Amino acid sequence: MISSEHTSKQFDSELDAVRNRVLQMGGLVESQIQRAIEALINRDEDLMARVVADDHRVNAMEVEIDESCNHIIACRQPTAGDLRMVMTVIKTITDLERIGDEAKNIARMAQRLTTKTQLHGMPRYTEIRHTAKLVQDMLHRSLDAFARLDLTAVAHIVRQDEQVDDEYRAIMRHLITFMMEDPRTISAAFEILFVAKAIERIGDHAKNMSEYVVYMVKGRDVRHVTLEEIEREVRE
Amino acid sequence: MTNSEHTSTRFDNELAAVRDGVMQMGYLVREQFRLAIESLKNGDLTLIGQVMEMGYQVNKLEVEVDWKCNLILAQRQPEAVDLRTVLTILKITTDLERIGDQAELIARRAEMLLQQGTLTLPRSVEINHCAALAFGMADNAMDAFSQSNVNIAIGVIRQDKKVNEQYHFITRNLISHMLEDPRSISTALDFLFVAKAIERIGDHAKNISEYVIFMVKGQDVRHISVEEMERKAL
Repeated sequence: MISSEHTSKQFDSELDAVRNRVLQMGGLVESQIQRAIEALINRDEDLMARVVADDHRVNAMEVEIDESCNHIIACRQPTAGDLRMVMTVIKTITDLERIGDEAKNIARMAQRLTTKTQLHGMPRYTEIRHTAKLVQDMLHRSLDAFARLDLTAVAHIVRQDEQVDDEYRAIMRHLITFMMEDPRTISAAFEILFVAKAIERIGDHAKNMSEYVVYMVKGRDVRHVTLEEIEREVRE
Repeated sequence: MTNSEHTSTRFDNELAAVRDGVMQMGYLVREQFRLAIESLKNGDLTLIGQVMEMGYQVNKLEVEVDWKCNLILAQRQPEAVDLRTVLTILKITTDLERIGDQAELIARRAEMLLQQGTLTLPRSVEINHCAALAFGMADNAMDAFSQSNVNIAIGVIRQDKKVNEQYHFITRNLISHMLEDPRSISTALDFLFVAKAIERIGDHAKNISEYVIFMVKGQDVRHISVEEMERKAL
């Protein structure tokens, strides 16, 4: 018994370690988004460069966490809730890594924007900043849900994603108007448009992550189902 | 021995079923992509409906395949290459589903362009070319998976650069087109998003190929250069 208890304790601590690494990776990705947006708005070229340079840290964490998961599955043969946890981690870090990529992309676009002088009359990133706040909040809530195995925020996150999509379409229309009124803004507007697109995708990934948490806690796959079904599942 | 043989055959069948599911997904999303591009070329609205319809099947398959992978992991405790295959499939389903999503985005843009009666823009030739490249990548990625072929996988990863170059070329052309004729801005943007979706499909095909290398060789080759990859994988 002692030996098996020992093994199971070791197993528990391995699982805990993996979960903590995911949360660390989440924290790193959150800071990448934050700094990318800040760099864009303040035209801070040092910060842009740092965001681009730090992306490899996100990538390295993805690879490392995947390895730990593979190791746990191979050596510990987890079942039921433990297995679902590992599965969730495997899916979650893919989304986190891609959020990291989007943050890097935003920093790259910010770099290109600094070389463009035709920014006069362009919206001062008010909408971009607002939508970015929204997806940052979504990501934070998703990570929280993961950390606490708490599904109360999930329906809210899914709803926020719809809001993000609306905001994104509004930004798009706004930018098109700008380009039409003053074609000199076209090439700058192009970059901003892709910043908006990147932010919208971050929202999608955060939503995916919250859906995985439902699977982890409830064992039910809620991808591709309606918001009403998710709400029902979460309440039960 | 009979008993264990029996079990192992059953396990092989389960694994084969999961692999079939992945191949079916691969087939469906490539069809979605092909039809989406086709609808863009000839303005056939019925194709757009088909693309969306197939999306439901893809989603269903994704959930089903993931579920079966979980069962295998829980009940069969696979090892070595079998384990890597299951883990690889869990990653691949996500990329395949997203290829389908991008195809749906293309179809929706085609629909908008059709409704505005602006389906033809001088840049369609380039878009078609880029789509053909990305389609080839998706094709080869699935071949690499089904044949466990590392060489094909590396070929896909190399092709991704070409798709990206083509995409940037299209982007630059669209910008100059917009500058010349600001009335074309809205249409040009629709084409831009089509190009972006194609470029992303190439990325997903590349991801799939990287997972295939992991499956075959046990080496994680994400986030490294092609040269390093060849050293590790060949």
